[in-house]
Amino acid sequence: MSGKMGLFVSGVMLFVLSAVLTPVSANDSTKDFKGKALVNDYCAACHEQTDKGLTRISDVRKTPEGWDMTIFRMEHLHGLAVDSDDRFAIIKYLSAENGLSPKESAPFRYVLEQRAHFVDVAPNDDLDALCGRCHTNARYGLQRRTAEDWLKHMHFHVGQYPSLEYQARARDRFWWQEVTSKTYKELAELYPFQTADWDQWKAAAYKSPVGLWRVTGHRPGQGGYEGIMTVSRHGDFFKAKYDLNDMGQKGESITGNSKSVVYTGYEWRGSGILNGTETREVYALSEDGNHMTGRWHDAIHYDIGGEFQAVRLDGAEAQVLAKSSDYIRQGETKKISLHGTGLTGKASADKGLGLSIIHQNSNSITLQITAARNIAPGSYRVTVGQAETAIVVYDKIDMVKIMPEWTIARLGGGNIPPVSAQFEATAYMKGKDGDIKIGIMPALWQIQPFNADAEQMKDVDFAGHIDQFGRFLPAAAGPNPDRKYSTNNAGNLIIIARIKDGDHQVSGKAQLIVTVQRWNLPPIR
Amino acid sequence: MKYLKPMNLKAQALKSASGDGAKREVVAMQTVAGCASTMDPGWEVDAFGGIAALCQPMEADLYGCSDPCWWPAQVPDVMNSYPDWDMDKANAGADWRQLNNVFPKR
Repeated sequence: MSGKMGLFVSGVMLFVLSAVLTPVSANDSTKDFKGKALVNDYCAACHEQTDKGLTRISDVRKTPEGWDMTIFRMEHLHGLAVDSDDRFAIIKYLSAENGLSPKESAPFRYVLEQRAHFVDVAPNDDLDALCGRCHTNARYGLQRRTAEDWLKHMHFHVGQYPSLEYQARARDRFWWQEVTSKTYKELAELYPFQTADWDQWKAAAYKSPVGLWRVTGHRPGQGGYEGIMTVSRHGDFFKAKYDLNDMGQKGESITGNSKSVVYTGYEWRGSGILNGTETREVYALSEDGNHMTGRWHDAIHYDIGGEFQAVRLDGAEAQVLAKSSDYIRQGETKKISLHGTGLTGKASADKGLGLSIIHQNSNSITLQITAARNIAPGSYRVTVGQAETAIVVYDKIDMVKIMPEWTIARLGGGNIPPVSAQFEATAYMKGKDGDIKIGIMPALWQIQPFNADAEQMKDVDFAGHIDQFGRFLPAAAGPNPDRKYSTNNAGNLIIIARIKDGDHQVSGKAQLIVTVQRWNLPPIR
Repeated sequence: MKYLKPMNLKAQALKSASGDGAKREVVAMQTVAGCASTMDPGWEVDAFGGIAALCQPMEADLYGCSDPCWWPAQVPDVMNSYPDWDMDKANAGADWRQLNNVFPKR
């Protein structure tokens, strides 16, 4: 289906979809895109038409962000002028025709989701030295090229960034000989243009996200949240309405909405407002169209955001998706809420845990749980009808681990926002078969110099401070005349979390490098 | 460092550290997403996993990075890609607040 008839039919489909919330996994039949004509209009002047398509463009597959960056490069370096509507249509078309399948993008979602603290691992030392010394490993892992085009990619780099061969980790090897004889072939094998998986995904019918979704998530440093997302279609876009609640003590409501595009049949990209804060959403729709996972973040401060998972409500099985707390101490009585779908059944627990129901509906159940004094520490089952989860009973905390164990924060100022670092402290106890995770707990936070250099430079006094929720807020950028050599407010710090356990404290450590800002902030770095 | 011979104290320290295992070889293979692992020194983190060997304050030599296209993924290269990035901002130490991110905000 193509051309005007296709547009007309899909227009009718859009109207129908937007008028009624569709049932489970309705197929989205709007695969025809006006972007095809626009790609020819904008790109064919330079990219020659061949029997395979336009040169270069038809040899590459990328994410929506990857195509956006390519268009930016064409604008910036080659004088392309494209308005925002056409840009959107071109990205949507290229992401559908030459995109990545859900399986292909899955290992690299951390970079799409703008996770500032993810530790990135290269497939091997050669690729780390070649690509990973400037980029995330996702930068090339999220591209698929023919072998010929990977080779052209090498030539592009040495032409555009000629001094790269003088930089460290390039100088101690015959890098150009290696990349033009070996590495491009390796990349073509690791990340090939043609795959059965992509062919299958490209041919499959897209699933519509329209409907009601059960949402659960976690805001690092603030705790869990849960609620409902209602998605409706409005032309080429989807609108989401959020009715969420914080699971913490305050139980504040989190409301808002967003407008999104679903690229390649599963790449949800939204812009919205949550409790007055402008947000961006990067979610992936599952292949069956019944789950969505990802992360939303503050539009300016990408380091602040929340984990997100959603399950299509219609037809969902009985399941627990999140809990207000994962643990209870021996002898303690505690209110714990379970959030999920189909939670209408009878509540019960393994022997040793006493239950009484405070509140119950199909999406949530709040229980008063009592752990007997003589109950053995370990994991205990709690069931609500067919739904099952586990609560950890502990006697004492043996160890505290901080996540992330090692990360960076960036100084900010002028036109570049700071990048904070959010830490969370998780308590563990020793079990017969290894450490048992109890759960994330409130902690007392402190910073110390990492080594003698940091002590001498008084990094603790200058680099920033950590708040009561484990968020490190870096100091201002720029030379600091109050520091030796007027150096920046950079620092090398130990982060310490102390969790109270009865009348004593158990502590854990992490390392934080507070470093300088960067001025090149594309969506895939 | 098969083909290189250390010529100063810093280079010697790097070679020795690498030899005795003190240098975190894993830093190169495992870096926080988006950090340059080009160790000459690094932009974000030095070869020892700290900051003591970085150019600091970086503004003192910032245009020494942007002019010859050093760390182009972090610092816009004025050589080829962004020739106007530092225009009318001759003194990085005083003008750094006016320097912009080169990729447009979406």
